[in-house]
Amino acid sequence: MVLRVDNLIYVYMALCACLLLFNLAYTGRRRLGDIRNPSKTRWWNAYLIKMIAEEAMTETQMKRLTKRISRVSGLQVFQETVEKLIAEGGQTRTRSWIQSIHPIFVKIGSRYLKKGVMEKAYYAYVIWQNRLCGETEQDAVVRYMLQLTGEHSIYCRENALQAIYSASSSEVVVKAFKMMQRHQIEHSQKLVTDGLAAFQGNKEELAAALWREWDKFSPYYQTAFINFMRLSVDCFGERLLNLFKIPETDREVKFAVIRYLRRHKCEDAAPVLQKLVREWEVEDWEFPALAASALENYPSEETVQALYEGMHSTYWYVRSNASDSLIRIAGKHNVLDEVLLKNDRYAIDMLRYKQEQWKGEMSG
Amino acid sequence: MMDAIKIFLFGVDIFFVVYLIGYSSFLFLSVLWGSNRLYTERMNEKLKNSLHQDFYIPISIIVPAHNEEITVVDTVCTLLKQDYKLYEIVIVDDGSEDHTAKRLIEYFHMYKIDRPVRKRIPCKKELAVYEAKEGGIQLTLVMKENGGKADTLNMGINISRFPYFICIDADSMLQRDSLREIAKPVLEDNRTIACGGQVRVSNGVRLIDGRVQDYSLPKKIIIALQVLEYDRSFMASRIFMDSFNGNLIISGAFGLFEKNTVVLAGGYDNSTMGEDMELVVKLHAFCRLNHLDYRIRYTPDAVCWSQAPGNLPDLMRQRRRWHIGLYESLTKYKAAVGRKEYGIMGTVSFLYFWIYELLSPYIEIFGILTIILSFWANLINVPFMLLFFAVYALFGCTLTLVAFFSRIHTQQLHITVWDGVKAILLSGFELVGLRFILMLVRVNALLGYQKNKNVWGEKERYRHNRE
Repeated sequence: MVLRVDNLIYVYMALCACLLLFNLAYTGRRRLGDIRNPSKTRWWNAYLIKMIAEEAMTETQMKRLTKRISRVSGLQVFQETVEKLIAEGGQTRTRSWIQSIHPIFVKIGSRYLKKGVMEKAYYAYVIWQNRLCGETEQDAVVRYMLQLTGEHSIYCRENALQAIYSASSSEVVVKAFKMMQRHQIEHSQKLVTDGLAAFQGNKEELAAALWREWDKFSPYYQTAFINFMRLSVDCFGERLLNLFKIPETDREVKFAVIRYLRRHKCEDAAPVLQKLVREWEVEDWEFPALAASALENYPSEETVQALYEGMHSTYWYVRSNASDSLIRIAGKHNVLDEVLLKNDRYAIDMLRYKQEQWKGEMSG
Repeated sequence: MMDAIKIFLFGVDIFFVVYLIGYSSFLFLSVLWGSNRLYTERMNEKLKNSLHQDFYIPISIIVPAHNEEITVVDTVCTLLKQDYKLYEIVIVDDGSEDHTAKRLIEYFHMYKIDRPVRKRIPCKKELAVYEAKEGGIQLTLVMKENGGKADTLNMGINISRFPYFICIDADSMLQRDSLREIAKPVLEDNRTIACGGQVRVSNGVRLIDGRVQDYSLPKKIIIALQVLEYDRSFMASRIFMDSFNGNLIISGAFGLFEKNTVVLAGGYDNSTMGEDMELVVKLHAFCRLNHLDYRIRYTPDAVCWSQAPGNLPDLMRQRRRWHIGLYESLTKYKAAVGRKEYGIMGTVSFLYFWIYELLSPYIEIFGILTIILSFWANLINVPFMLLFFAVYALFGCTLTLVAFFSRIHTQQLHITVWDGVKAILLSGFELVGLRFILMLVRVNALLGYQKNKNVWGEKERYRHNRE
């Protein structure tokens, strides 16, 4: 029995020794890479400058380049060199040359799609950085990118989506999300929102395209889309307000709508928001809290009245947001007295703090 | 009599064989796993498999402080240099007797404000609140009645504004990218409710603008030994346990939490000495029992540099506290072992911590006593025993060195040849020297532990090596 432990430990130790050797080999390779990489980059630099200068590439040159960048290490040095050339000021020429070798990226795409997920993600990254995605699905690279949005790796999906946002049409973007929805992939909402906001085409068109297919998406994606609309387009107030009024609409979607209405004023929304704040005992506290924030964009007698009522809420965030909005609407006017009359200590404390903070911000 | 001793020793033999096979297999697997994960992450980084975002999630950084006048301003200064768009810093002064608050108020020109504090988690009364803005970042200082570290963190949670918070010790420094890195797991998987970062010993590092400029093994042997120990333990358990959502510890020195879940679970427990471990175990229990799909992650790329005790008495005090904290957390949630709701985490993680962390010093003492008994009864093969000890020690050293060098290489740190040699020599000393002393400390830890509950672990502070 004891001997068996002994042997087991010998085996483990041998494997650990291998790990140590691997560490040493890895360091050696890194050191070697440090020596060899600059010369490789120099070679690529000269090579690419020559290619760009010649503009049209011969069949042999195309083949050689395809072979080189089919390996991920080759693609890496290629990309680094391209970035270097762009940084040195050759942006226009470099970019138009890369566009001219688009067929090479179609060719290597089918090879990269058979590789591991890390390599696929890197391929998508290169496509994104060089804006090699076409506008429509006719382009093979677009089809590759759509395929990559179904991968389990978040990096792979995100790079593929970024590639699509950078050059494709709104229809392709919608298709990508429909694919993820079909595969039941929930890509991070924050990434979806920020990604859509980085879309290079017409954002209003994109929002309209998403709206056309609205019911095909889960509340998870709908929320992210409204957040994108909040950041990028201001013509969806009426439509989103109607969505808000539908009782079956998901809570998170409704919250996103209120946030949209805070940023983009929609006259018809004022009474709805005021009602939410006034009736803070009826709904969950999140609704009046968000509505109280949104009302800063709807200054009127009714709004001020609603916010006063909100100040007496038993919920911290409702009082906090209502006092923020009141101070923003009232500006220099003293609104504290009104609350004092009602003798609500919590409301007074909150408003006093917010006023002090506001004065602090104004003075410094 | 002799027969009884023989039967007893045979039983002990079997027990230790199983114990050692379990321990070496666990260590081996975890170091292998950890090493692989570090290399995969480097490969990911090389191939741009990362999120290229400027803004992640809004984070409140909570800095609990008690008599930290030497380091607190430096700590806040490093926090202000984070490469992150939306965060605030909340310093909670837990009734310091030195000039902790004064240093902050003067340095950052903070002004007093009547800020109402919403006490979603009970904590001691606030005495004053100060605020300031520094480079667009909201700074808040809360001075409160003394109540211990857990109470201080609860106050920080109460006063923080953002949905995620990070707690960081007042003697720690973050790298420029630490917030960005620790927030990534939340962005990658929205079920993440907590994430631990890697705590490294700051005594041998020089940071300029939050970036590592020089790194070497600390000159003081006791600190250098802790560097090796940290590397082994972080790689040996945390990375491995992360693979099955089984981490039971997020170091109090650096961890990110989703505020709402922490509040619902009841916040930090004031009655324990190891409030950091207790919170993580509590979050596991809370989510498992309420059938919430959750992840508690560990990310080795989010680095926090923290001061290690610089002398043996401080180190012994620290380890005593840790052992008591471990005991309290494990006994409080003892029902988790083997229960279906807790899954693989309940079995593997809890059993590991029970057998190889909490009970190990007692088992080791028992082993030594058995050897003495075997000597007395003349039932031991001395050459074999020595060979076995040597092999086992070599195995331990090799694991420590794999962990150390994997970390150095994968995190692109450069050390001198002398530091490499020093690490090899110290790995042996760590095994036979430091570990033995700490074993004795842990054996004694639970004696009279009730006496010093809710007190801060005092240790000698040094100025950070920062520019």
